[in-house]
Amino acid sequence: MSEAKQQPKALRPKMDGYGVPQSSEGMLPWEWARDRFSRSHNYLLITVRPDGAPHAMPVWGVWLEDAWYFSTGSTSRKSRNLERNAKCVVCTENAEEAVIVEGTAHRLKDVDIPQRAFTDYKAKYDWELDPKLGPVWKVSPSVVFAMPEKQFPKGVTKWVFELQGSSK
Amino acid sequence: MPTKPKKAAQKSGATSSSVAQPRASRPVVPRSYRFPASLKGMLDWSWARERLAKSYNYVIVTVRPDGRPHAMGMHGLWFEDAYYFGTSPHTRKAKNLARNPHCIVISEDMSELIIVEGIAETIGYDALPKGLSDLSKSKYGWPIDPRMGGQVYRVKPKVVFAFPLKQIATAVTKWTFD
Repeated sequence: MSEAKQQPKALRPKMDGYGVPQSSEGMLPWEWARDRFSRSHNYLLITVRPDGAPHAMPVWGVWLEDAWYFSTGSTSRKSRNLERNAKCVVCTENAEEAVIVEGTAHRLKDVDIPQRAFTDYKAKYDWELDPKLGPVWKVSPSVVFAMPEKQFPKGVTKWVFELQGSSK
Repeated sequence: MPTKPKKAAQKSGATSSSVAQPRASRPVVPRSYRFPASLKGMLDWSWARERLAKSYNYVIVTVRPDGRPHAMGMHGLWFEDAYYFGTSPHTRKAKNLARNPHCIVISEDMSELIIVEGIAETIGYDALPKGLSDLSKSKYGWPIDPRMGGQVYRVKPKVVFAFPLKQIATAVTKWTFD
């Protein structure tokens, strides 16, 4: 696996009353979250409807370097939501080692889809990532939370990413 | 954006066990999935209810005032077709819900995923349904205790989706509550 271009800054999330320590002792390395996020077979994609109500649906996707890629039909609820409001949350499937990614989605032109998104998707799901069936979106993380049940509360960690280039 | 529905909290109480069964239908899915059009295999509401009650951890999704979604893991109770949880009024989710009560509750087992879209309302300790505190004690080891200082919320479902991954094509089901 190629390395992320940048290491995000690790912090403690604000969680009063749960005994999350002030010190950084026990905080997880970014690789812990990245690896679990990459390995998740199913993801939950959370978007917001124009009327302000949230929407959640299971989807497939692949993590490459420093962003997550998925595809959805252009008329789907999530697609219509993201056209209006690109902010979204992506959760992994294993609640015991939950990784929550808050980020911004961008719809990619076909030429901008990295080749590895196709090959990794095919290898992971035995299914073609096909922009003709639904545009491919890239979700760039802004904040990532790890909530490891077994290492709770010492392992609870939040990573903050610098804004990368232009963000809508 | 809708404002807080505090008033509805008062109308709770003993009648809540007579909740009507929700209407079952199919969610809209892309044709490329090749799911059958027939309704055969759709799940009974009790399938979802049992799993919602059994889930130990849940994810709650709310929306921040600036429109960004927020998701957090938490404990809670599914009781008489509603979801109950407690949180301090200073948490992100409490602040979000005070502005926008629309939220989503998700069960923990992704292989039998259940997504509940609903509306959250605060509910006074004296208005909690009978049996809820005992259920909390048996599930998590402590009763619902006002001295712990949090606020209790009830999420009433509007739409519920079930995605049982092993029989997804025939069993995927959407329930709508009136």
